[in-house]
Amino acid sequence: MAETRMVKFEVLRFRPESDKEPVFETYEVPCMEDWVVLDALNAIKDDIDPTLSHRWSCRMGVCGSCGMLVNGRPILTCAAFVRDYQGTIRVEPLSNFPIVRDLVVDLESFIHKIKSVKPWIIRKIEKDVAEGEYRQSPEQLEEFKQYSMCINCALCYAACPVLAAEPEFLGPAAIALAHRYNLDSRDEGNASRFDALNDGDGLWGCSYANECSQVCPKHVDPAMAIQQAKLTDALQFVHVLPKKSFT
Amino acid sequence: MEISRHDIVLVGGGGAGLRAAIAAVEADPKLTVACVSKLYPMRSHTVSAEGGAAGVAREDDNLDLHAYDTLKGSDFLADQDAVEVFVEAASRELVQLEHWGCPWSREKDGRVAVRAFGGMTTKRTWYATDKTGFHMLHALFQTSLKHDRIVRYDEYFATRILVENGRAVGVAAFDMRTGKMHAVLGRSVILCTGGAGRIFPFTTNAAVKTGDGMALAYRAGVGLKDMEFVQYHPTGLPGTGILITEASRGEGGYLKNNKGERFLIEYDYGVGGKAELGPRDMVSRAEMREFQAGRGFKGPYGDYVHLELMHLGEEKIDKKIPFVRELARNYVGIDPVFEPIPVRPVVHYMMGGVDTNLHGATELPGLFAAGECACVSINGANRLGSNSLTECLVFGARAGNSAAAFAKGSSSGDEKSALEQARAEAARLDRLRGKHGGEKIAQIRRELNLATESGCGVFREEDSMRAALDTVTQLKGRYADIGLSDRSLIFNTEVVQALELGNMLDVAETVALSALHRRESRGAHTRTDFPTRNDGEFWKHSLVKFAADGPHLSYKPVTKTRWELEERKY
Amino acid sequence: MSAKHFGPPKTPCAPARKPSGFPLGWYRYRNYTIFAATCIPMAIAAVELIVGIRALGKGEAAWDAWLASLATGPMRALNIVCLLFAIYFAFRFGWVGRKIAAGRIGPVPKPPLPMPILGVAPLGGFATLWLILFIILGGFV
Repeated sequence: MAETRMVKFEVLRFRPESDKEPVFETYEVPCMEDWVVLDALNAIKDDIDPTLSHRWSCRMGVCGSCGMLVNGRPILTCAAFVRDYQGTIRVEPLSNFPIVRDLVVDLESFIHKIKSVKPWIIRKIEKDVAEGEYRQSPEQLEEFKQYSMCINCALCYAACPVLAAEPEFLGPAAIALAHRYNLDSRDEGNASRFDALNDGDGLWGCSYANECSQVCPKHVDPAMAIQQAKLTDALQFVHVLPKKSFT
Repeated sequence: MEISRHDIVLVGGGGAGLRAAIAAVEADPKLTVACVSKLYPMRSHTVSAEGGAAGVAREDDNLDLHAYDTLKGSDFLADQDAVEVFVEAASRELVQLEHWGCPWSREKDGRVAVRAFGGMTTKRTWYATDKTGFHMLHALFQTSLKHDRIVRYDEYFATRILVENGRAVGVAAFDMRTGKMHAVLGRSVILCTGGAGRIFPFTTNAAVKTGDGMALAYRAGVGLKDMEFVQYHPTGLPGTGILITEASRGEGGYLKNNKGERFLIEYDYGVGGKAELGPRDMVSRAEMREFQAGRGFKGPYGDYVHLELMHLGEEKIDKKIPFVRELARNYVGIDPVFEPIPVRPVVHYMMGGVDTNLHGATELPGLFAAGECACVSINGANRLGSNSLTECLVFGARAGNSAAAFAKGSSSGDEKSALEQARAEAARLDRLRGKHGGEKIAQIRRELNLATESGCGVFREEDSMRAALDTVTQLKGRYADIGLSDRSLIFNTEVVQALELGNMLDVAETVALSALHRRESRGAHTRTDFPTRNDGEFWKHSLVKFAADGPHLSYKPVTKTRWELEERKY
Repeated sequence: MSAKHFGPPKTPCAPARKPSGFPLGWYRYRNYTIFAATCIPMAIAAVELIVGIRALGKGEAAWDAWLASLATGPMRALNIVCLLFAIYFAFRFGWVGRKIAAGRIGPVPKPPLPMPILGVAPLGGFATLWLILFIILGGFV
């Protein structure tokens, strides 16, 4: 039998039908050497406490479902290795989001914010499919590629101190996504996204905490996207730069 | 009980589902589509596809060649008319996705780049570095956001297709958030719920791949076709089963045994000059035979072989397959620039699924299906890598258009019977939550996994398949006595797991039954007791249908248009 | 269309929890809090300058009196603290924003706006900001 080590997990539970507020429960889980925290949560659900609710799917860091706080830090639990932690491991749902149940948070505001920046290709005249692809050089692709890597895990939202005080702040992922489309050479929709961005709760809510980029598991660097977008936005606001993107 | 009325009800929000939704709303400016998904759409398993999507792109390529490669890859079990339709629409769909913002990797002149892939005679696999599925899904999801007529029901779990007067008129789905059952009604229903890899213990598949849509269609009386054909992907990480894309071989990676030999060249495994780029079923079998011959490396999760990428160099790896490097470092602690990655065959894709024609229509009027959960069939007995992402787009669009046309041409039902069925589902769900019983979900799931692994693995034979089928039937009996602890309504994931387990048991039964009765080896279905292909008796699709006294197996003919059957040698 | 109207949650939820270690527990949040707190010494400096400008308007005697008041011990100490906060602010601002200039304004291949002083090296913006600060504060200009 493979070797296991008993690890103590303190997991925040919240059952809205019976609990007034969230409460920690402790579980002892026999963990294998190469387990991630997600494996332990699944072991708890399968064999110890089936009433634990948590989200997960791909377990390889690309679907973005399993973001939680482990020892206070936002991380994908499928990428948080048990061997990297000492002592009791504390698992909580993402900060800055209302808690629906146990480790599951309400992400509707996140989805709404993503949609509000119009994250799709906007063009005056669409090319016919029969004419083939838009030509885009590898350099043009590099411009926005990093920002297109966002898996919508919302760890950046959990980390952002601005969101703690102002839940209506647009947030790093939404702004980075808007910036990804603004930088895409095929897009002409800069002007359509302007109003969503150029708002006290849009771009300008960001006050350089930079924690979003620190926690992003895909190295999207949303903080950089926001600051670049701020520069563009400011120049557009004073009409030094036109709002329509170059194509 | 909540009732929602739309024109089209779509179950599943992955690559095929979102493509179908967009196709449906673009087909008619008045139609609304309810997109019912147990996940937020961008979490769908399409997101983990890595290698690429095939479509004729270069001047030296043509549709007939792509069709022939696909057909040969399928061991000639694919329906040739469907394959013709597929290859014809492939590039167009991929260009459409590019117009919707998908960041395909490019050549220097700005055109879309293509790479080599297993079983393809020339380069025709479009790719977005090595996260193609991710970029495709996000492009589709973000594009779908601009259509207000696509109304999403996120984290709703569909438990039954509502059938009225012999027509599919919607689904009963419960809101995982509130626990309440909804009747989502429409004039046509599309299933795009993906495959069922989770019936096996080692799989590249996500937790959610539990064959829900297949089970829904099956219980509604629609046949599941070619279920015995389960694709093992040759390069999955041992233990976790995490996918290491075929693109790593497409870019020049080698597979080596414990003697340092490129065993696909050294020994005769039928792949000929293609070596590592042979079709997946052949490469997986080769690896298993290497293990049997004692030439595999031994590890805590079983035998494995080495995938060597060192000779590609750091620059090429970082440029073409950076995600492979990241996965190897994170999950096995190996940097492929310096060391080989341990890999072994893991379950990856179900060639079989809901029986549809090439318009995505099933035999139940108003019910359509597309993507991995459907079987048209273009993949036959074995799928070529990079065909399935394109399949999602081509048949997702076709199913969306067909469902839109059907909805336009139908009237709404009178709803009475549909709502009764939905209420019955609500009662069933209430009984299931916190149900008393002696069996545990996790235990039955584990035993199911053991049964499928031993009976329906890479190599199969009569006795172990029969045993597996018997075990599954027994497990279904034990499932009736399942005990649940969570009585709550709000975000109860235990009851979701119980429902998924029920779906997996139904699907596994069809897999074991079809496999047992196909007394030949074809494509991914390899039998040690019937090791050759038998076109005379078995050039036909298997079809399993639900019946009260147990599943009924029958067969359907394969459609042939232009290509004659051949021996499958590379 | 703003992001503000996303409605109340569907089921009774526990309130959102604040990020762990904010404002002073986690070292990066601590840095950020100090960074944000520089607004206080900046406000003090602004008040001082306003008093000084008023004194300027009142004539040379008032101006000299104000300058003399700045030369006292406590005022010097206060101003040194303000200066330290300002340097910290400039350092962190430049560091967090160091890649702005490396990015493009709008997509390629159109030429970027003529802002040669910011340059395109990753640390260009950071270095330029410091250069400007040095030139102005050092009295070279």
